[in-house]
Amino acid sequence: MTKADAKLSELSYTAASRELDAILDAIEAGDTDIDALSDKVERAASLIKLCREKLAGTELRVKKVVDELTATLGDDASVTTPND
Amino acid sequence: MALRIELDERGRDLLIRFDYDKRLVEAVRQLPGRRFDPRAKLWLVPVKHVDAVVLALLPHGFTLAPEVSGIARPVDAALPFAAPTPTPIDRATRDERAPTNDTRPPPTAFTVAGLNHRVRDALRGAFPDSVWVIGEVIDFDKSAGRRHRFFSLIDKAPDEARPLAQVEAALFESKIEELADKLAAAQPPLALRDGLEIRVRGRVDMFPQSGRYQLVIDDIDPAHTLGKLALSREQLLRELRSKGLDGKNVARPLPCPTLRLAVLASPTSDGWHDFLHQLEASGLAFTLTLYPVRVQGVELRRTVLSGLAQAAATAADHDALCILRGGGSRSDLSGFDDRELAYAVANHPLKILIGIGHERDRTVLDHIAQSFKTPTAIAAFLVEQGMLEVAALAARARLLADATRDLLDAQHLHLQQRAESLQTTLSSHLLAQRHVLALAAQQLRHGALSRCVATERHRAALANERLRRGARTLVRDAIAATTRAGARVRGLTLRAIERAQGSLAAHDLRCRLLDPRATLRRGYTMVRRASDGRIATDAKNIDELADLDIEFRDGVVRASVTTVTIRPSSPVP
Repeated sequence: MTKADAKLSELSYTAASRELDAILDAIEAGDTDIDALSDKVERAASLIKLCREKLAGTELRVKKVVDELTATLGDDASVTTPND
Repeated sequence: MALRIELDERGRDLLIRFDYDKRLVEAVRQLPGRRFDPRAKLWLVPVKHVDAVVLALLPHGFTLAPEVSGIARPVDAALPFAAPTPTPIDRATRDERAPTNDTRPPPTAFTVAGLNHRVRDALRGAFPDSVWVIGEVIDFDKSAGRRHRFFSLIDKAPDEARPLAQVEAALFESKIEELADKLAAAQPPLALRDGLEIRVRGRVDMFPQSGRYQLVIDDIDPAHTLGKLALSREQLLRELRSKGLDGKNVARPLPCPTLRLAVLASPTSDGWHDFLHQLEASGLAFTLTLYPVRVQGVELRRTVLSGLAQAAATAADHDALCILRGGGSRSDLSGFDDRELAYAVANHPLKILIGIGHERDRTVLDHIAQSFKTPTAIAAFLVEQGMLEVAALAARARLLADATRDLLDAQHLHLQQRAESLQTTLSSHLLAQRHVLALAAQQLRHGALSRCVATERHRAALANERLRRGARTLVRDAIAATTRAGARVRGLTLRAIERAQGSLAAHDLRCRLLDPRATLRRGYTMVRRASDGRIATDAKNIDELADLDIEFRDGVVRASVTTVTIRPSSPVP
């Protein structure tokens, strides 16, 4: 299995986007063999779907990292100001 | 009108403004190169004399615009207002150091309180009015939340940790709010904090209980601090520029799409909540990691540095880092001019977007990272980037469809063209071949015919010739033969004629002998039927009553038969 055939689920958005561009470039340049065209179009469509899924989110995910330093801050009202 | 020294727009002259005051006019007239602008009602002095102007006018209560503070040499202790002329207490001190040979009895000893009161009185006598003092604030932040704020002002040599001189300062409750408002009204707004160099006016006093003297602050000059801050900001920016760090983080590309964000913000702030809501409303798959920090006050530097370090350690998990601070513009931004913070931002492995809620002035961090006015503006920017990527993806999907169709069309067309081309080639080949064949045929025809005709002609000529020759021979032979035949014929004819003539004579004779008339002459008659002129040779053919012509030697007699009686004829002799 070549890098280009990497499993979709393992691809990052950037990698998927790059591969998509490469396929598009090849198709646009007319470098694609007609026999391979069907496979390439199918792969490109999967990449577009993957990218769409990665872009669209149903909910915002927020993780709060509290280290030792910030933990000492607490939420002391006397320190918190409207600008804070 | 406030007593103010400003810089004109072109940076050539200092502009000195004040309401008419004879004492001040006298002071200004002493300045080198001074001139009065009657229209604007202000005095102008070439900027090269800035130090002289500051030295001469600050004791009169003038304040400096930030741009003037930036170019003026720091005011040192030699200034008249900072080093009061000898006062009664000085003289008293000298009196107490009178010659040792003084024979007067030693004075009565002070109690501590007595001494302190005496010192306080002396101080008050020496400083009957408030004085302006310039120094760097320390220990202010640790008095946060107290009713009165006690801190210190120090003189510090550059690169020296220990102060050269220190004085305690007190800011009583009655003045805290007034001075905080004054600082907050500055542009950019300020807030008292450790590390700031301030110019304050205060009363020199002493508390006998502690025996420590203090500067009890009653006014502050924000312009001085702004000038110093502007100056140190400029110095820091110059330093960063010289090291090529000012554009380092700005030049970092923003990954596309920017969805995984490290955020340095206060979890309770409006800025954070606005940011969160705007991203949430976009429908894009943002993932945020929040590092809680303080974005003003004493904890700013430490917490932001810590957040930056943590985000850097997990840089692979983030696309970009946002530093947020919401709220109004009336807040001190100088914490973002920190040197260590600037270096941490410039060298950070993540692209940093900074939105710390200010409108006009830019902090050092705003210069060295991609800057936005507010957290909301960052969120809008990120959402726009995401939406652009969504659109780009849709465009690529269309492109895929179009390119595939084009490719197939092109292939189809190519095939068609090749087929047509093949057909054309074949047709023209066939035509060419046909032409060649036709030509060949024509040539062949022409050649063969020519050759044939020539041959035939030749043969004909030959034949002709032979014919002619043959004919001539034949003719000749014929003539000869004819001649011979003629001769022969003539001979034969002559002989035949001769024979004929002999035969004719015999025949004539015979004829004459056989002629009936000769017979008639010899006495015989010839009977003919009158009806048909035929000779009646047989008696049986003679009918009764028939007319008969009987020829005689001398004539013919018609006789009619009356009776037919046949009798036998006489026998022939």
